[in-house]
Amino acid sequence: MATTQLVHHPQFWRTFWANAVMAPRTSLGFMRVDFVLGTVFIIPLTQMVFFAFVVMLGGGGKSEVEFTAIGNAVATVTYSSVFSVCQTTDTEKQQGTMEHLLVSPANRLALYFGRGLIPILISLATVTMGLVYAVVFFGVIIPAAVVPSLAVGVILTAFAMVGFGLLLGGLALYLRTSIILGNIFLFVGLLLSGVNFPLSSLPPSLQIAGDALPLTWGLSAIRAAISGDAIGPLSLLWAAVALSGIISLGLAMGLWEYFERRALATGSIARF
Amino acid sequence: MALPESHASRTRATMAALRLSLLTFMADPQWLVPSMIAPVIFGLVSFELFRGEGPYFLTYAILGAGMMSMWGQTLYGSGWATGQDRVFGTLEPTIQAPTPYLYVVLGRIVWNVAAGLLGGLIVYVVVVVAAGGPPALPNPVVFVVLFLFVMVTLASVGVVFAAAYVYTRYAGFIQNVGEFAFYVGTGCMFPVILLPFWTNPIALLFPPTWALDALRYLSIPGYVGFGWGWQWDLVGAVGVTAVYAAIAGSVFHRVERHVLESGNLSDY
Amino acid sequence: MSDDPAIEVTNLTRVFESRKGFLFREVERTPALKGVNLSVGNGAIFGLLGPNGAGKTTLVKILSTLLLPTSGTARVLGHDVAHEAEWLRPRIGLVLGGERGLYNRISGRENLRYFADLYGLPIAERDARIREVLERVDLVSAADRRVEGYSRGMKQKLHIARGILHRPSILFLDEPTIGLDPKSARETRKLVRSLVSDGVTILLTTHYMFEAEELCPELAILSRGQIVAKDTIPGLRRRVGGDRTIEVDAYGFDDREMAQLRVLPGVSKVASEEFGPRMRLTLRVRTEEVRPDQVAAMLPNHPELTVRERRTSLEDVYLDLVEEEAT
Repeated sequence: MATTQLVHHPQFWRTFWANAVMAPRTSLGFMRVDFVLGTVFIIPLTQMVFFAFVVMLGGGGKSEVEFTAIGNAVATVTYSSVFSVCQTTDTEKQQGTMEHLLVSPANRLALYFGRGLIPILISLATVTMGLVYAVVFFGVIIPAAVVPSLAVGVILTAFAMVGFGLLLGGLALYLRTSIILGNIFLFVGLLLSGVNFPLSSLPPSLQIAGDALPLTWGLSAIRAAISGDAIGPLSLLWAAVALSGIISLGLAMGLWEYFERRALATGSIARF
Repeated sequence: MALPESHASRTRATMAALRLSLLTFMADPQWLVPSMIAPVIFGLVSFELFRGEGPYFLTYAILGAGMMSMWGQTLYGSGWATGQDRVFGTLEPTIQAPTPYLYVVLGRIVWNVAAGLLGGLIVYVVVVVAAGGPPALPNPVVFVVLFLFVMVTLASVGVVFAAAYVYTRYAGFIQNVGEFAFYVGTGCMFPVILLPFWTNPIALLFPPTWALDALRYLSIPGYVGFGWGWQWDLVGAVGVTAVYAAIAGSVFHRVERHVLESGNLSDY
Repeated sequence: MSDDPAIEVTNLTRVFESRKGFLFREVERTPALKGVNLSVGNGAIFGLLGPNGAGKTTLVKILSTLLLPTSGTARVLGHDVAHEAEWLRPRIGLVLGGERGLYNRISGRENLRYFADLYGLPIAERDARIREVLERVDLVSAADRRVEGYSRGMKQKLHIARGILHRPSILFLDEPTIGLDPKSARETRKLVRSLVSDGVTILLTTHYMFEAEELCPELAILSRGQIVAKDTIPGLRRRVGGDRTIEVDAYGFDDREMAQLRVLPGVSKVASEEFGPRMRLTLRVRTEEVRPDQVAAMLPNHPELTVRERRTSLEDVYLDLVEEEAT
């Protein structure tokens, strides 16, 4: 059945929604209220405070602190997007439920991507809270007029980062664990995505590497929105974020299918 | 016929856990990647951020990034391994063995300290390469000795943190939430005195805070830390580390007692 | 060997608490053991049977110091499990079995070596002892392969090997032959018997009635957290009304016929069961006075009648007692 036909098929959405609701609950009780509150309220603040003080110690002034505050407010989305999606896959393997998922006739698109829905919502909340902290504690000024364009940037960034997480999660079918990849990209993002200092201060080769990460574009779009850039340049950035998310999702679709076959061929489904 | 527990077996248990950590790592060396990448990233980020700090920015960068790399490994590595015990179902048979679980954790701490030191070395190399030369250290030998002592203080905290993983299957999440808060509050990357005054007493409850302050005193001329000098920092570090070492046994005993009461040893 | 019981349990209860609700305010209490009393002598195999969820594993975990009781006392080898775990653990072996509980990424031999070190097995004899237990469970050829490549049965064998590695005085075996092929299961039962002849006391839980009949001179049946019976197998047979069973099959029996059979001297119980169009009456018989031909003579209106006699099985006993407890 063609993908477009599938999407119109009621069973597709039933599978999608079942996975959307189930995945966070199976991943160490992700839907616990205290976990969500910790992810949304505590992680952004502590990470922002950490790097703000590092910048101040490094001789940075007000503008550098604001730059870092915004960067880390957005970068903490990695926990709720990349980490949580990767962890869901890892947990399925540890609990021995992955094999039962794969032996089912469930549509793979709905099966894998349904688990990205709740992380998108929590990512949105995380970034929003981070930006609130940036305003309240770090002196960042966000004029009311830019809120709509900022919201667009935040939504697109959450979508793109979850897409990236799904891409990495696909590797978990084949590897023992994908949390390692989550860890790697958490660190890499701090360096290459313009979180704590402008990308332009890195060597050109590293800038190109940074351009391959959705977080880089998402952060650029959010910074541009806060700066009050015009719709023209903003649209280009939004398109870039959306494109990075679509590419991640597209690659994720292919990779999930490929790695599922590899995992079945090598027997690594049950290995963790 | 049966083997009564002896003190000699506690050392053996620690060595066995160290050996198991090594074997498990060799069986699945993929964790080497983030362990190596993280220090490189931290080194480059701190190098860039501290660039404007003056002649001693290299030392700040090395200390800061090195600490971030090592702290994560040492503080949380052993706890994470206990979390893996829960996943594999090996926590029950290990707790049920005669040797107190604390000694198993000690073996893992030793492994993680070694891995952390490797991370610190990588940071040093990265920052020096980025800067084009080594930092000017007034006394390199003392620096290295104190660096190692900082690791010991980290290990003492790591042991107590590992108890959380025995206590609850959610310790990993709590760790993620509290990680940066801990780095901030204990002066991992920057002196605690930069923070609001009310945070300082809390920071002093942790041995690494004292040890790191002493290390900065001795390696960064003109450094102003808590103000009482590196000697008192060392006294404080030794004292607080001793307290952690003393309470580790009691903490583990209470935690083990709790999980035997609650019956959640096999939960993950 | 001591005359003191190897296991002595007095009014043991265990309640599990879990929290539910949006903010985890509501506490749900599940009683797993409700006042268990049990005594097991030294140097024998004692069976513990019960339906799923009866509390067998909970009881085993308490006795092996992996769980604390909510109230009551449990003593193993004369020592309190709640307060003297340090003394007990070197002397206890525990086999929980299953797919988990082993380090998958290292070999079976390395798993045993690790636990040998935790148990303080003398270094001089450690490797030889590991070889010995691997031979005993027939895992020598796979000893140096990663556990993640083991079959379920091989993992079970490795669990058993670990349980006996340090020569425990008392061994708790929780369904030790589950997942084993018939040959391996038979060898495991042979191993269990050999351990008893070495002086080890064994508490065995199993769902396989033939295994309990073969291995356990005495057993207890646990149901819904309580011991419903404890005796030798002949004693249990007598308790459920006789160690002989007569089965009568036909295309239905009327109430008068069933009433006639119930009042027959020597018949302690008549149960009925339907198998498609046929009905089976199971008579539990206490004495030799009631014979199959006698029963057949009482049912002349059933030309299709079949009557057979057999010994009351442990499964009969178990089902009778568990159903009785449930009602």
